[in-house]
Amino acid sequence: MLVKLDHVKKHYATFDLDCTMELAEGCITGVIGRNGAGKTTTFKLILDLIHPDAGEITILDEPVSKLNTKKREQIGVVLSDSGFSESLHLEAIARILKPMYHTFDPADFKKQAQAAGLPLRQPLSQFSNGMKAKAKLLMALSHHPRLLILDEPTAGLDVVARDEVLDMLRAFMENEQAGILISSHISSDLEGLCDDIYLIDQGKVKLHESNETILSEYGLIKVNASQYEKLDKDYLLAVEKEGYGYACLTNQRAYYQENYPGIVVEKANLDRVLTIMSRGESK
Amino acid sequence: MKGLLVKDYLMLSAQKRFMLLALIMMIVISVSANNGSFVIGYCAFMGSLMGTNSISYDDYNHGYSFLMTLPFTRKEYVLEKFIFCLSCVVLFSVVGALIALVGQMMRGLNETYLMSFGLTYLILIWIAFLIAAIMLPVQLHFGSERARIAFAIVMLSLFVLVIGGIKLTEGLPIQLDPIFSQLSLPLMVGVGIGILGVAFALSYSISLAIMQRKEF
Amino acid sequence: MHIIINNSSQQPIYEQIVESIKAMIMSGELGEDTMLPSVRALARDLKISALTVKKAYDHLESEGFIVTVHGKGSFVAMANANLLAEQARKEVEADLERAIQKGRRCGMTDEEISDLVRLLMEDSIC
Repeated sequence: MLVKLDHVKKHYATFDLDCTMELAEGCITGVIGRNGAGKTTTFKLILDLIHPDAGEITILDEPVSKLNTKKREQIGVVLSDSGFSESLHLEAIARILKPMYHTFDPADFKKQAQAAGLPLRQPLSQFSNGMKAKAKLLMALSHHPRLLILDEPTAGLDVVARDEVLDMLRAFMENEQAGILISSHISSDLEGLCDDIYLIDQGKVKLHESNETILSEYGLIKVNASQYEKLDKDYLLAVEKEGYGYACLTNQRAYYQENYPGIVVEKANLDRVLTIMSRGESK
Repeated sequence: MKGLLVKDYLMLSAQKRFMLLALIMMIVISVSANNGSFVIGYCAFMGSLMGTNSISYDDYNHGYSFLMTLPFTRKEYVLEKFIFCLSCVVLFSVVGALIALVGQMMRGLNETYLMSFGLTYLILIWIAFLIAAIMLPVQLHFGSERARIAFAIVMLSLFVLVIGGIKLTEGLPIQLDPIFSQLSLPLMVGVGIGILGVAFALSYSISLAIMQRKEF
Repeated sequence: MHIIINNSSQQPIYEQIVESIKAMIMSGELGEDTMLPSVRALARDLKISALTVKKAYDHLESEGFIVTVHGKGSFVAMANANLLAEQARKEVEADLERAIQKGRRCGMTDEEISDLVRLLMEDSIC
């Protein structure tokens, strides 16, 4: 296990976090949830930025508080609202990273940056949001880590840049001992990338499912009030009231497609899964 | 830890403009007025403040969250801050001392001047070291927002202190120099180092405790 | 390997991959012992989850079309080029039989049915 959270609890005024989560070697795990649901808190616990009230956090087979610096070199991090000081430029950052990571190659880093269209001697404050996001990811990848922890790495990027970033992540995964834990508000990015998805809402893991299952077996059932009455509720995960009646999330799309031929049953996508699980009533 | 030092020195060099201004001001003062002590004092104190201010730079714009994910222990972080601060004090005070010497050279150097110069230098950097020892845990605990106000207050009061202190020693009815030369120098140096040692030990352990518990 | 995925189709993606690869093995495009791309490499090309590709590969292996050698990769298994053709022929036979039965039930004569088949084959742009 690259990352293991075992009933990790943290109390805040707005919610109580209670999280059990795993990232296995060779896996890309996505985390979705509304703002304030506890995604960032979970990531901060994993990165030892905050301390849990209870529970165990194990990173690269060590308890996180005992992680030595050599193992910490195997972790690459991108945080959405935090990074190096923006008065520094990439060349300066390369000089900082070199003594910190044994596996950091300044020449390679600069080459990658230039290939990505990033200037080496301009301070980060002059970068666009998209350039900053690419720079952060390049920094995280530059020391060839085994574990990537990415909090909104594609925020602010245009669709072409996002595609390039996702491709970099897929290339990274060709090392079979690597793993990525990624959170994003851009669900379509995660749909094309992740192996499994955790949905966090109000501090709790409301859903943990393989991406493949969500895309092939989950379904969105749209019914009016009278159709809803007659609907078999056994395989519904959550229901949200809509203008036309009800939107229902199921993990047995085929069942409803076969038994209710007249009813609208769509493929589910992560955005809809998130909104129904967060706003709707769980069944 | 080396990476942290590189970072702090790079951030310092980004302050070139401010430091150049201060440098020019010091040169002017040194050449125009007969105030070598002021120049040394101001430079030394500026050193300790630029040093401790590196903590504000780390904190600025939520920078700490990312910084603390980099591969170093919190202990190394605190240690690096001490080393950096002390090196800043030494660096800045040496520059100040040189400026003061050059300014005095134009008026003529003599041995008594050099003696009191050396003593003044030691006393002033001793104070600067003490200031660093106090400011480090303060900055770590209170964060950059409140530390900025603290910085302004300290700079102002330092200015006042340095001027006041110099004026005081000049205006005393008793001449301090003869008294100082009578006191056993090794004893004084020993006591001075002892006090510094205790101050640093305390400061280090408090800073370490603050950093270990801090959440980012 | 050129596989095209229809994301809007109701057919699960892993099934689409299985069918594409089967078709390529049948047509000979993927010869015996050809090494298939790694799970991650194919996932990267298709921009999908690696688990989906793995599911497809597992399916193909359980049906005997490919063989996975641990540490090396997945390879096309020979025996099945023929087996596939066999299987396809059996399916066509079954489909035709069903069509013939239906025709007879509707009251068509055997001659009418075989004429219809011939007409369709001449017309069709397959």
